This record gives sequence, structure tokens and C-alpha cells, in this order.
Amino acid sequence: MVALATTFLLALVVGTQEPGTPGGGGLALLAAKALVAELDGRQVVDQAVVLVAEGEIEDVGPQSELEIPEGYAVRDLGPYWIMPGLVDLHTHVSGSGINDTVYQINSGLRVAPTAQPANPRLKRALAAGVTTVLYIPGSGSNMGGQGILMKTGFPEYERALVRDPGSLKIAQGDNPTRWGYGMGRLLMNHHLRKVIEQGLAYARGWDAFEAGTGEEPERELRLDIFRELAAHRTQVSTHTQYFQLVMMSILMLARDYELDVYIDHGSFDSYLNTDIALENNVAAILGPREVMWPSPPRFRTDGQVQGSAWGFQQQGHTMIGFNTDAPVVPLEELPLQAAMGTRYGMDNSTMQAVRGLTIVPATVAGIGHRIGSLERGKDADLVVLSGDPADPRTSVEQVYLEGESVYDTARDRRRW
Amino acid sequence: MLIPLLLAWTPTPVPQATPDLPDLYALKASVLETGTGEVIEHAVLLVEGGKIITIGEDLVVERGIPVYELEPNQVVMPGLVNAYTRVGVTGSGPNGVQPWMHASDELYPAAGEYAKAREAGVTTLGHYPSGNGIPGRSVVVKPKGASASAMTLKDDAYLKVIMSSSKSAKSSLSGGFKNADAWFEKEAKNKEKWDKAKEKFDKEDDEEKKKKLDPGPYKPLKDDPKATSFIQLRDGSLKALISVRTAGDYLHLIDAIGEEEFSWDLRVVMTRDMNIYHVLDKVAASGRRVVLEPEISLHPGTMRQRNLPAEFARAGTPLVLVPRNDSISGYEAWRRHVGEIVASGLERSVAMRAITLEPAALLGVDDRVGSLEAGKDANILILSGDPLEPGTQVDAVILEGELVSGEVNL
Amino acid sequence: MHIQTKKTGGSRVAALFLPLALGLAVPALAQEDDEPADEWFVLQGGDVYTGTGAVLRGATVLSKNGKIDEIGYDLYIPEDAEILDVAGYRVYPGLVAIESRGLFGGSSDLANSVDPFSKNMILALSAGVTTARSSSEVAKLRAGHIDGLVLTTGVLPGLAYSKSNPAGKRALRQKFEVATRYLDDYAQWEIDKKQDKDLKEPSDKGVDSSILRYMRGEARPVFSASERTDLLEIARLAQKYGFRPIINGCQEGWIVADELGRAGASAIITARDRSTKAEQLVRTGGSSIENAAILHRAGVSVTIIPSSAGISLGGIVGRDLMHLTIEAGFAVRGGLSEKAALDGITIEPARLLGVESRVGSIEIGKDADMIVTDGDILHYQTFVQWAVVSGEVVYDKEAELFFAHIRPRPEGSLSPEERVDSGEEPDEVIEEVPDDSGSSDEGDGDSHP
Repeated sequence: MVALATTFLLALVVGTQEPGTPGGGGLALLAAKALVAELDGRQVVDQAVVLVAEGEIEDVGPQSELEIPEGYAVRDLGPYWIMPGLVDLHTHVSGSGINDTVYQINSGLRVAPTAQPANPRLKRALAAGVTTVLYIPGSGSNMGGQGILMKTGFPEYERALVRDPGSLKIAQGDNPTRWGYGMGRLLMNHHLRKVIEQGLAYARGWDAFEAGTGEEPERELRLDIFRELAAHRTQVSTHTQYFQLVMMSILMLARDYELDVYIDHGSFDSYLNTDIALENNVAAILGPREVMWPSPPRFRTDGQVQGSAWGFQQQGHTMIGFNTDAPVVPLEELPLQAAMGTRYGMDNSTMQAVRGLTIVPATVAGIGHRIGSLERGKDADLVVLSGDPADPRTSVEQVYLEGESVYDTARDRRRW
Repeated sequence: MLIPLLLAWTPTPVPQATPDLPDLYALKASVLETGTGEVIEHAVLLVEGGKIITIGEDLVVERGIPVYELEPNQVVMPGLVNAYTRVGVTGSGPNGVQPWMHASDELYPAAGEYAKAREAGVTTLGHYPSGNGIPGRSVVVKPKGASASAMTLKDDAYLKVIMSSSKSAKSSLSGGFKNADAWFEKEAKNKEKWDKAKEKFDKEDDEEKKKKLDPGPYKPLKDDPKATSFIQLRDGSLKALISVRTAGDYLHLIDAIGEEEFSWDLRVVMTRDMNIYHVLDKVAASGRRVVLEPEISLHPGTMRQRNLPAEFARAGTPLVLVPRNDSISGYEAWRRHVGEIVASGLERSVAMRAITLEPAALLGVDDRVGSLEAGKDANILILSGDPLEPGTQVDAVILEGELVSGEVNL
Repeated sequence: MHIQTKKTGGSRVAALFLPLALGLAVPALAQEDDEPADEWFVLQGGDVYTGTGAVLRGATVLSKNGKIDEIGYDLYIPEDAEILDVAGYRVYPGLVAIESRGLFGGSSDLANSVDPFSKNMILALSAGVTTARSSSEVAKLRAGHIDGLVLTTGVLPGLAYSKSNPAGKRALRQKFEVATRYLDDYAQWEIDKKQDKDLKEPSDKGVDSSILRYMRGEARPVFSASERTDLLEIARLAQKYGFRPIINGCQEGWIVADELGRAGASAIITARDRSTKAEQLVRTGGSSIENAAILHRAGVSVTIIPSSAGISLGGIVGRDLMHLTIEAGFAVRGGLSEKAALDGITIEPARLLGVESRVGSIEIGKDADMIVTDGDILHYQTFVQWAVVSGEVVYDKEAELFFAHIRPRPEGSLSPEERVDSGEEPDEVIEEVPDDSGSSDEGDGDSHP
């Protein structure tokens, strides 16, 4: 009797689950074009079918080749395209925490408790196809704290969370100098070195303890993040721009301390550091300024208006992504940032713009194994749209998060 | 011969009275720049009564005339002429249209700057009235004199006009000519009225009535100061020096002038990013002189250097150069700065002329100063070397034949 | 618009050669010496998007003395015409910015204060804008000239109408009432005076003259309103008093689109405007990306402006006047047709500004104000290659330093002599910063005022 009831209940549950989501059976999406956006492989499949099951992408291939398994719900998207959800690694709109500037070094502070999943500012962003964001503290302090990677469309924190700590936010230059009586770069860099060295020593101490070769260190909340960093389980996201500052970021953080680092503004003449960025495996996630205007003698471009993406690409970089620094640029205008990067000189002949919105930021943030492209085993975070994602004229029609339809213009009012 | 003896008599350091030169003497120099572009080697210059009598190469000097032979490294050139300066006059003027005002009213002969100007080799100064708009007329002075009239070479040398891209600036110019028109009309009407009255008077036969109708001699209208300057511009008795900052200002200036024809020269205010090059050809075609500072500018938005004085000169514009800073230190650095832009491409002969004869011509005193030619004032600089090399000192300055700074040896 | 195809003027040319061959003087086919010669300008071989609905591929546009003379194929080209070969490119009407800031360098009275070499003007031309309103004047971006600039003055006076100012609204309605009464009296008087010739004309004292012009259809009032109730009231006011309102902002217009359509309204819209509806309201509210599309479908003419009317040099790009086409693109995102979006930045603003007889489309008789692009003008990668104003090239992407390095035109399209005079060659760029203290500025103590 109990077994029957349980089966019945189970059947009910299964019956009401959406296809594609865990327990909901399989989903096959037929699209005119699939922007697969692999980091080093397939970019496009025409007349594609995307198989989704248990919230993950099962397979992607041409409709003529890939067979749809029995029992899968089939949704024909007609002339629409399908692509992975967009990723923005520099945002401040997922919650209320922005800047705690009592201290300049806040390695223990976390934005996680301030997160407001699926808040109104994220609703329009979701309707633009932005599915994963790195929510970080502001740049008012030298080391702002720990950010979190989260999905924009789930109202429950646990479901929305992708990784905590998403990153350690470091801001170099400008904003922190306005703190208190004013602080120069000498002191800022000294602060950073001091805490990083403390943190790395702390991490080594714990590693030794866990290997049985050392005593248990005293627990320090503010240094725990360095264990994550030392083990490369998270990265440093650096608000950094201008030639000298970016050089500092790369040499100090990536080269000297061997942390996983990426540039999180990269504006103005930052691109002149591409050679050391490449040497130290530092990617450039560019925004909100996508362009540098000539303003000699400081920024000498010989009269040219230079795109940041153009600059990095010219110098040989390939891991170029885009961000909004929302709310500086509204989060829903992330694709426009890629459009502007392309407009002002970035070569887009191998779909660099699409990758810069998806797999590049995902990989750089260490979540490329589950987010950022239409590949087997990755989260089914999908965007259905009417064409080139960077083109402002393109409209987003549907958004799926882990197989679940979280936005559909046929059902919801068009938000963007 | 006398001079070293005089010096021996004064053991305590007192300001040296510059020794007197005789009324008639000759200077011999290895290199002499005339200011016209000509350079004379083994030059001989004869001075009498403050004027240059003759000048030439290897001339024979009559016995009895003291000859001052200069060192082989020394170079002789005309005294410098600064066409646009307020060193020596102070005070600020109001902004507005006051073409009747005279900078000569501000002259203060005892100003300490004049001695320093002489030492720097500037022997002719064109003082402009301060203020924006049309603040008045300039005066040309020599930096020495007991009274304003003793200093003055020429009053009303040019009318200073500051032009900008605005209706008020443009109408100050076009409106001035309209005032002139209005005055002429009024004057014509006035004359007509008198003519008619005279006619009536002539026609009248009756003696009694005739007395009553006598209009008397013709009384012309009183001058309208608002119109006078523009009437003078039109009839050529006055010229103007018009300042602009941008190429747009220049186009607006030409628009404001319209069909009017009068003599004027252009001054371009030097700023960091200059776009006057847009109208370079137009300016060159107009034949007007251009007053600039000896400075390299940057092409806007870049670090590309532009030598605007050289570009104007190459296009055929007569060039006048004034010091970068209107101050004694500016005067002292003037030749060196000119040397810099010669090194960057300005033709040397144009540069030398731009600080001597051309500004003299702009000021209308080129009959008297600006070059070392027979009949002109003996305003002579003796320098320790090439005038445009940094490090060259002014060894002596002769103003109207008198030694006013430094010394010359027999 | 009529398309003309003409034989090349072969016969005319033959007539010239014959007397020459006979050794006779060329007959006076040339103009008189004191008459200025006609200036001819040709855009040859491009795909011409006239803006009237017609697209002519590989066609030629001939302009005479700054006005479009002919559009078509096999046109007769006068010998001394300046020809610009634009084969492979597209020709569009120059864009019209219904609002702009800082483009002209001067203040009001542009004819006397314009800076014809202003950097912002060049940048606006680089983005395709050839006509713009600057406060109450509408002017062409005629770089390099200070004449032939201003098209009209005294445009777009605004009317305040907002629920935050009920007294103002009442005052406005009063004015309309007074004006209506006056017009009724006037109409009656016109009838009555036929009987009684001495009847006095009704006094127009106390009648607002602008209101009269609106009611007579001589001008259209401009309202700034975005809130639904305000929009409804404006629509009703318009229907009652017989005028067609222009509404700036109109964010919630999509909710009352039908009313606005019936009122013959025109909307000036920023597609990306964002406002959320008031929390306490149950009905729909706030902005919508579909605003322009919905209004257009309801018969409201749509003009598009970006959120910033000036040129932004801060580095964040995409939302200023240089990106007018991007804003239009977002309106397309919301469902507006591409044609309506292009109209929204060309002919519609021209109409609202009252200059549609001169600009806004490529038609014979209109000013030769056109832009040549390397692709679909609404695509984010497209650049303006040349901008033509009054039949003269006033902007060339290759000749300016700003964007020449971005996807440059193929080799050989511009000789070094044709490049904008930029002084020394780049390899003589000086590395040191020049001494700033050298420059003398007006107003400094020691320097010349």
C-alpha cells in the first residue's frame, strides 16, 4: 500500500517535472543554428538539435546526424538560434553589498550573505540571456572581499549558487586611493603583499597539517580564502586598468605569488601588457569601457580611437572576454559590450565575440567544466535568440537554466 | 681708449654708466645680419647723429673716424622689434569696443622694465592697449626717453581687435563699419541741408532777407568716436591687428569683415592644440602678416609636432614672431626660442626677418627701424655669437647711435 | 521620387568637338565669367537606400549646387563634376538627431558662433549624423563652413504637462478653452461680417498665440511625459482641441498606444529607457523594450534618440549620439521594423523639426546630405566611410585619424596627399612631453590678453 502510494506520488512528481530538468525526462531542442562556442573546437552547428536531460546537455549535433532518443519532448524553435547562457564576471547587482571601506584589506569579507537571487535588476538581465554572474564587492577598498558565482534566474540561494568563493576581489589604483587620508600605490601594494604572504603561509601550514607533517594551525577566517587560492579552487579577479597597474597585477599576483588571476577592466593602455599577460596565463575580461580615446600625453594613440579588445587581440591575446561592471553598464547590455569591442576593431571572424561572452569568462573563472558552451555534461543553461547575440536587434526568446524554462516570451511579458 | 681708464677710476661697484660713443663712428664686424635676410661679412657700418650713414662689405673708413673693431666671434644684427607687448606698461583695460583709446596714454617712461628690455636687445616695442574686444590703438616706443613723447616713435600704429566666434565680437567689427556708414550719411545730410540753405541764400535778392538766410560757413559734423576709427580704417590712415584662436574664429572674422577693405594683419593666439592649420592656405592667399610665437604645437589628439610658423612661412605668409612670454624673461629667451623652431624647420632668413624688419613693417616704422640700412636709426645689437644659438649673450646694445647696454672696445 | 535614366550626353559632347576640330573658338557653352559655375557632385555605383522605400542597387546620385538633381542609372555626368566612386558601399540619407549637445562648438546663434572644425562635429559625422537640433536651431553638420548651416530656428518649444503639477495642467486646459472660444467667435464673425461690414473683429487679447498656432495646425506642441495618466490626458486634450501632440519620453506609451494613435501623436523615444512600474499598482506599468514597436503599430510616428544627446569621450560606448543607430537597433529588438527604425532617425525627426522638405531622405530637390557606409547601417560593425553635406564630402573615415585603423578601406582608395593635413609623419612622433610652461594663454598675468 505504502509502496503503491509512493510510486503514485513519484509518478505524479515525474509527471509534473519539465522535460530536461532532473526527473523530467529528456528534451530535444531543434534550432536553425547552435552556437556551440567550444573554447578550441566547434563553434557552430547549423540545423542543430540539442539534447537535454537531467538539467544537463546530453549532446549537440546536426539534426541530420544526431538521433533524438525515444520519449524525448521535442521543441522546434523554428528559425531561432540557441547558445550557452552568457557569463559576466564583474557585476554588483545581485545584492546589496558593495563596498566596505573601513579597512583596506578585507580578505575575509564575503558578499554571499548579501545576495538577493533573482532580484528585479537581474530579471532584465536574464531576459537578455545573462545566466551566470560573478557578484563581487566594489573597488572602494584595495582587497574588497570574496565574490560568489551565481545563476541569475533561480530565486533560491542554494540553487542559484555556482561557487562560493567565486573569487577574491582586488582593486588596484584610483578608487582605493580615495580612502581616508588618501593612500598611494606604494602602501596598497605593500598591503597586498603582506596579506598574501600571510595567507599563503597559512595555506602551507594547513596543507602540512593535513599531510600529517605539521601542527594544526590556528583558524583565521580572514585567511581561509588563501587556501582556496593556493589550491587553485578559486581565482583573483582584479579591478585593474592602465599600463602600470595592470603590469603590477600580473607580475605581483600571477608571477610572484602564482595565483590564478584575470584582469577585470583592462581599459585604456592596459593592452600594452599582453606579453606578460600571456606569459603568466592572465586573461582579459574587458569592460565597462570598451574604448580608449586619444588624450595625449597620458594616453597616446596618435589620434586613434582604440578598442580594448582590439588592443589585446592585436598584441596576440586570445582569451578576451567582456563584462559590464553592472550597474555602471546595465547587466542586460553585456552583449552590447561584445558588439562594441567588435565594432572598435576586434576581429570577429572566428566568433571571438560569442566566446568572449560565454566560454572564455567561464573557463577563466574555473567553471568551464560545467558552464559556457553547448558540450556534453555541462549545465543546460541555454539561450534561444533570433540571431547574432551581439547585435542589439537580436531578441532573446527563451532562457533555460539547467533545463528549466525560466523565461519565455510566449508565456512571460517580454522584459528586454 | 677712454673707456678702460674711466673704469679704473671707480673701485667701488657702482652701476656702470655705459660709456658714451662719439657722434660719428664706425663699427667693423666679421658677420652682420641686416634684417632683410642679407648677411654681410667683413661688414663696416658708419653711424652719425644716431643714424646709419653707410653700410657695406670691407668699406674704407676715413681717417679720424673712431673705428670699433669687434671680436671675430661677435655678430651684429638690428635691434629686436617686439610688435605686441605690454612690458613697461601695467594696468588692465575694460572689455568692450573702445577704438578711440590710446595705449600711449599709459606710457610711464621711468618703468624699470625698459632698461632690462634694452639689455635683452629689444630696441623697439609696440605697446597694445589691454582688454578684450576692440580696446584701442597701439603705440610704438623706443625703450629710452625722459618723456612719453620722447619715447614715442609712432602713435596709433594699429587698432587692436580680439575676434572670437560670437555675434558680439563679429558685430563689434561689422557694427563699427555700420557706424561709419551712419556717420557719413548724417554728414551727407548735414552737407545737403547746408547746401540747400546756401542755394536759397544765393538765390535771394532781397538784402534784408538775405542776411537772415545766411547759413554761414559750413560746419562739419563733430566726429563720432564710435565711427572715427572705422573711417580711418577705410581710408587707410589706420590699420588693425586682429587676434584669433581657432580656424573657426578666422572664418567668422572673414565673415564679419564681409566686403570691407582695409589693411590688417593677423595674430594667432598660441594654445597647446591648435587647429589654425585648417585655414592656412586661406591666410596665405590673403597676403596678411601673421604674428605667432616661436613654439612647436601638437596636432590635436596626437603627439605629432607641428611647426606652425614654418608652415605659414612656407605657404608664403609674411611672418612676425613675438616672445613666448610677454615678460623680461620672455624677452631674454626670445632669440633662443626662435633658434629652436629654426632647428625644427623654419627658414633662418625668415626667422631673422620675423624679429626685426617684419614687425617693424607691421608697426609702420620700417622707415626708421628694423634693419641695418642707410638712413635708418642706428639700433644695433652686438652679440657674442650666432643670434639664434642658445648661450649667445648680448654684448652691447646701441640705440639711436648711443650705447645703452654693455660695452664696445676700440 | 522619380527614377530617371538618361543617355550619356554624347551628342552634346560631339557638338563641342566639332568647332574645335575646325579650329574655331569653343562656343559659349561655358557660363558667363561673372556667374559662378554650377557645382556638380556624384556618388557613383552604390546601393542607394533612398528612405522612401525604394532601394536602387549600383545606382548613381547626382547633385547640383548642393541639391539632389537626379538619382538613377546611366546619368549624364558633367565634365567638371566631382565623382566619388562608392561601388560596393551603401548610400543612406544623412541621419537626423532631434536633440544634440555640444556638436557645434558654439552657443545659440550658430551662424555666428559655430566652430566648423569642432571635434564633436567630426565624430557625429563619423556616426552618420548630418543634421541636428541644438537648442532652438536646426543645423547641418557642414564641417569647414560657417555658412549654409542653419536650416531653421525657433523649433520645439516645450509644454509642461505632468501630474506632479496639476495647477499647470489646469492652466494649460484653460488656455485651450480661451483659444477655442476665440476661434469660435472669429469664425462667427467671419460669417456675420458679411451682413454687417462694420462689425468689429473679436479681440485676441489674452489668447496665447502659441496655443492658437497649435489649434490651427501651424505648429505642434511638444510635451514631456512618460506616465500613463499624463499620456492619456494629452491624447484626450489633443482629440478635443484638434492638434497632434509630440511626446518626448513616452515610456508608458505602449500601454495607451491606441489612444495615442487616435490622437495622431508622434513619440520621441529612447528604446533602452528603463523604469519599473510603481510597486503598489496592479495594472501594467513601467517601460518596455517593445514601446516603439507597439506605438508604431498603433499609428504613432516614432523618432528615436539615444539616452545621451552629446558625444561621450569617457570610454563607455554605445549610449551617446555617436551610437544613434545602436539605439535604433534596440527598438528593432523590441519588434519595430527595420524600415521604421531607420525612418525614426531620418525622416521622422526631420518632420518633427519641420525640415523634411530639405533632409531626411534621398529625393530629388532635397539637400545632398548623404552617408556612405560599408554595410547595413543598423549593424553594429558598420562604419560611415564618407559623409556628404550640401553636395560636398565633409568627412572621410580614411582621412581622419580616429577610425582609419579599424577595418581600413582597401589599398589605393586614398592617396597620401588626400589625407587630412596632420603635420609630420608618425615616425617622427616626439617622445618627450613638450614644456607646458611655454604656451601663453589669454588672461595669464604676463601674457597677452
